[in-house]
Amino acid sequence: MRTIGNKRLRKVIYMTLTLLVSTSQVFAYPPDNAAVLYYRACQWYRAEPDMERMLSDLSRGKIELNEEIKKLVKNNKRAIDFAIDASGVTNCDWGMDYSKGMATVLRPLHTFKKLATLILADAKIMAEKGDYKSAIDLCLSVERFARHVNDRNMMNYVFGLAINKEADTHIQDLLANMPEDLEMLIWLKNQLAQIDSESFSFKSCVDDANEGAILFMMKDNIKGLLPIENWEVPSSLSKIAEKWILAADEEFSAGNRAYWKRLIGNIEAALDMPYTKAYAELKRLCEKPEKDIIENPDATLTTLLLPAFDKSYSAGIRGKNLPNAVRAAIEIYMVKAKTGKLPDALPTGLPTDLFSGKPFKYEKNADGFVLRCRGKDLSKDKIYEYEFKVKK
Amino acid sequence: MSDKKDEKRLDEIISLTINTGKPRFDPEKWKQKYPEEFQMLQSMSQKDSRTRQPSIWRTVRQRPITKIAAAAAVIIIAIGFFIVHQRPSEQADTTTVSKVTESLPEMLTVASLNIAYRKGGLEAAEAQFEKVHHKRKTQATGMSAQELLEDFNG
Repeated sequence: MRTIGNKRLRKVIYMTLTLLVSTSQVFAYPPDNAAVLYYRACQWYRAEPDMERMLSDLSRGKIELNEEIKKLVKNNKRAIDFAIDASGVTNCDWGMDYSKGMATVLRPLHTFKKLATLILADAKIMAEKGDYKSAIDLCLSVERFARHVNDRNMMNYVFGLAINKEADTHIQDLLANMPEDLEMLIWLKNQLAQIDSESFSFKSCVDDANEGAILFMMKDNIKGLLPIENWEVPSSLSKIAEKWILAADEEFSAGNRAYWKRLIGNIEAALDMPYTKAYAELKRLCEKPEKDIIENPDATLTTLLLPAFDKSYSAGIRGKNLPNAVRAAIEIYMVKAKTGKLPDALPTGLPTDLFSGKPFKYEKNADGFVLRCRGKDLSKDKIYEYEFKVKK
Repeated sequence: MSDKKDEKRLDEIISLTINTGKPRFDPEKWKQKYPEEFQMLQSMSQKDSRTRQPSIWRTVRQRPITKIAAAAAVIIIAIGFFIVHQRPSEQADTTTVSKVTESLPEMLTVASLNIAYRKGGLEAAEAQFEKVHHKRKTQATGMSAQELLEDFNG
């Protein structure tokens, strides 16, 4: 009697377990890790180089949407779907082995950027059909994608920002062409506010570089930095650097680590300054090791390993400034939708121009309005202005 | 002199009387002398070897559930062994640093891409990715998804 009872119990347990395992497999899409789907999207992405150039030209506004691009988007529908599904997943673990420091092999960031361009081409197709809601939705997916791409280190940061900026350029374009729709503007504003809660942090790039470079500076790893030609340092310095590295001992390693840590500390402090001061200080600090190395062997490894923080910092400000302008512009479009005319002055409390830390300079013109920066991008020696057209 | 001679003679007599060498066991003689005891000892040793069969093995063979458990244990050990030997570079290679731009994956390291970026900004970094991608394509006519992931997945 007990045996029969045991057999039944065992059957029930087996069946429950089987059901649990099989149902978890059936309903496991999308997985709890967006990276899996992005990698799948990369697998499915197919485009010849000339078509990629065409997509890039479309994204930059050099050409109009054409049949070839539409066909390309259609053929890549599966890749686009995977990427969009991925963008809706909160968790994104790329499975990178960051313990290797600067020897970590990065993800196919260029393919991610192309994938984003492809999705934005799809957004253009939707807009052409008059489906602005779907078009904006695709742009928002790309903004989420950009935040997934931005992960820890400087290259991820600059690629993530570039993708984000491209999405904002498309939103700028959609705002100019879509019919006046207050409800959709409010929805867009709220969606963007939600997306912006996860920001692009330059400080995390500095932290990552800090940890990553120290590994190269351990005594046993220093000679692995040779040959010196790999590092693209000025030829006048390469001989000196090589000489110091060949003679590297524990004292050299410790001295170089201390020099690096001091410099990184100064870089982190500079990030709290306003843009103009921060950029000047970063530029000075990034040029310092090359000057120091002649007299000071402790500057050797920093000369080789220091990323272009001045350049990427400026790229970061540039990449975040257009989104700020777009978010400010949405408020202006909302005023227009409510009152029927553009405001005479810029409403208060809007996102600011990051180059100056002040509100954008607002000017109405025949086509719509312009948001002009008050500060200069010092790395490009340029003052930007963002034009927003208003549909007549 | 005569005392010494007498002493030597006495030694000879003693050694002939008692055996002063090490005792030696002769098994053949013992077998012949004690055949019953030998038989008994032999049968005991055979029985002992049978009863000393590993009881754990017997248990595994006798019970189906333990058969499954043993098979599962073997599979888990095999998988563990496979994982350990599949990922040695990721697990133990954290202290070695390779040259930056020698091979295709190394062109995609943080250090190598930082250099490209320092030189020519985002466009230069993108160009480096493209270069690796192009070289991979020419090296292998049809790059499988597996290879793509192997190359780019760090």
